[in-house]
Amino acid sequence: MTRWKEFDVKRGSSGPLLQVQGLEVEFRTGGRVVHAVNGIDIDVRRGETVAVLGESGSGKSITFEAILGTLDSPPGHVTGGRAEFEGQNLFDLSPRRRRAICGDRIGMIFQDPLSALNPVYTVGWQMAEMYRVHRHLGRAEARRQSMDMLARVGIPDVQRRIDNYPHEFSGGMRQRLVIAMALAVDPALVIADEPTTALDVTVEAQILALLRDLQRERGMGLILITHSMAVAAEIADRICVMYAGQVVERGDVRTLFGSPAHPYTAGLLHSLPGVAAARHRRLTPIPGQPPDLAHIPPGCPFHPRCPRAEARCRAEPPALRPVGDGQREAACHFAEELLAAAPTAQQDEGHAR
Amino acid sequence: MLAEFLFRRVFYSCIALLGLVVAVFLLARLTGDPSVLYLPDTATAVMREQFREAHGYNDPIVVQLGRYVWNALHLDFGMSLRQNVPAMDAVLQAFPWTLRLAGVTVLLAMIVAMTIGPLAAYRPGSIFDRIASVLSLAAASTPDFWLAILGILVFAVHLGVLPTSGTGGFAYWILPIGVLMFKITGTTTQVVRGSMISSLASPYVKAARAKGMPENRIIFLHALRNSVISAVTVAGDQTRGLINGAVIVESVFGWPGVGKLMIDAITQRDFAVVQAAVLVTAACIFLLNIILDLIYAALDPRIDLH
Repeated sequence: MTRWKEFDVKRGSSGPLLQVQGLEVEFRTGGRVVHAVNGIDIDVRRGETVAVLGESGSGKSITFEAILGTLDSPPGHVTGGRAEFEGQNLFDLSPRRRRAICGDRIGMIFQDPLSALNPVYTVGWQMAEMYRVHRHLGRAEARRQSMDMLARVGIPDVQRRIDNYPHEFSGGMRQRLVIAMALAVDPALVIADEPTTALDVTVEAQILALLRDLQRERGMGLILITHSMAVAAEIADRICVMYAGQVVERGDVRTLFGSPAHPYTAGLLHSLPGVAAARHRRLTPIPGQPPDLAHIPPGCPFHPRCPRAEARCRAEPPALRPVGDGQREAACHFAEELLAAAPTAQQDEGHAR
Repeated sequence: MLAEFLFRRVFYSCIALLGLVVAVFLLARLTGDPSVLYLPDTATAVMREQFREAHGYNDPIVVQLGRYVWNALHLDFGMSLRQNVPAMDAVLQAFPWTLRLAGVTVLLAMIVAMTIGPLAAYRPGSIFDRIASVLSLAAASTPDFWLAILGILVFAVHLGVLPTSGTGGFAYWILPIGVLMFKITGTTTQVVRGSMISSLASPYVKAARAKGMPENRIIFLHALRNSVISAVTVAGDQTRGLINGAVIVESVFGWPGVGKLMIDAITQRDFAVVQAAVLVTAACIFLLNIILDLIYAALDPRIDLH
């Protein structure tokens, strides 16, 4: 099921395109405070694909809504941290300036393409407004460029289809429309929030291939928010695993999947049918439920579900720190032990084949 | 497709109109003997008999109905007993007054509702929203007969700035339209506000924000277009009421519209006028319904005219 990505990561030479540091987001509703994001660090370079992996409720979507400024506020509030994009902290900008960066320099692809498209306007209209608002183009030129972009993402018969409405397209075609809109004015960074979750498997593969091609062609940074390890393994260079609004492990995709240094990452791998089968293991789900974000357990937030948890885990929150060869970071007191106990990536790969 | 839709709707409307003519004809006969009202108290039985005979009221009801329908198909809708003019002429003279009143009222109400509704919905619970909600609720629930009399009392009697009733220049329009607008504006504002709150919370609005669209474009293009449909539904409903004749407001302000005409004709048992008035307003409402369906289809591409 999963084709492990060849190790040909082309890293951007410049500094990070987007650098998120210590981001904290809270939701306040009637005296209840939900800590959705608790000090997240993420960075993305040009030309790089970073997958943000996590279960529902791990705060992965909220993180990027906060960065884009599309958080429903109230009740959502950014309570700490920075998000530096192309050298400026997005949280310092006026809402107007920030809005101008959204869409223009940062494109967003949504999970459910049908609800992300306005039902009462033609796709041509919704496409053209990107060029009209961000590039101040006239009607005819905006339409011409819209057609080029729609053709690029694989919409057939663009001449005719451009005047159709979103409900007249299939699910996969709609996601192509949304991708075309997000990439219309050539953003430096694209954030794709579960772009293939609403699609069936064959279409998923096509959309992922399209995203990868476009990303290589344009050299943009791509952040892929997903709950699917298969999707992450398919196109990501680096992976950021989130749990309870925190990053628990991050690093190079091959290193991280080959030998996870955090029990949560290991648990996710063992609950993946393809991987478990390849390793002659039983499919083992992670026991328990993700924590209630209004009452995150003290110490390590994963300890109630962790097979390795000890007294220390209940008291002392582990920091995200470099482990192993320093190419990856994990937030677990026992990361080194976990690495030492696990078979190396090479052995494992051999085993899988 | 459009021609087929129109043909089908007009065809069904005609059938419905025919049924309506029959029903109104029969119901009007239930109100009693016209000769009692038309002839003076001193009239003898012979005179009454002559009156009934002359106007055909002695024939079997089926014969009367057949005669009426036959004549109506030849565009002869009978004479008004009171005004001594063809009944249809009396109706067609009154109808434009009602249409103008309804048209201007609904247009102004829509403009106000489509401005206040979205602004109130933009920040639910804000001061502006609270004031708009209370005012629109009050406006929607104020009885128009009371408002009409209050308006005359304040503006015509005490302040003396507006005429009490009748028709004439611009000043004569202000009170009737103002009074009629209250309820429609209030109701439509509430509907637009409610529908805008859900539009503004929808994923496509969030997507438009992520696309970097300016806020006024999001409110008035992305969200409002989706809320216009519910506003048109309410406004269409209210317009139907107005075309029927804003009976009370027309009576209070002496507006020579079809509502006042109909009430007068009913109290006078002027059957021909009642029938003609019902026929014309019904035809107009059928026409309005067809137009509304076309507007829906134009506003929402997901609506299929079939």
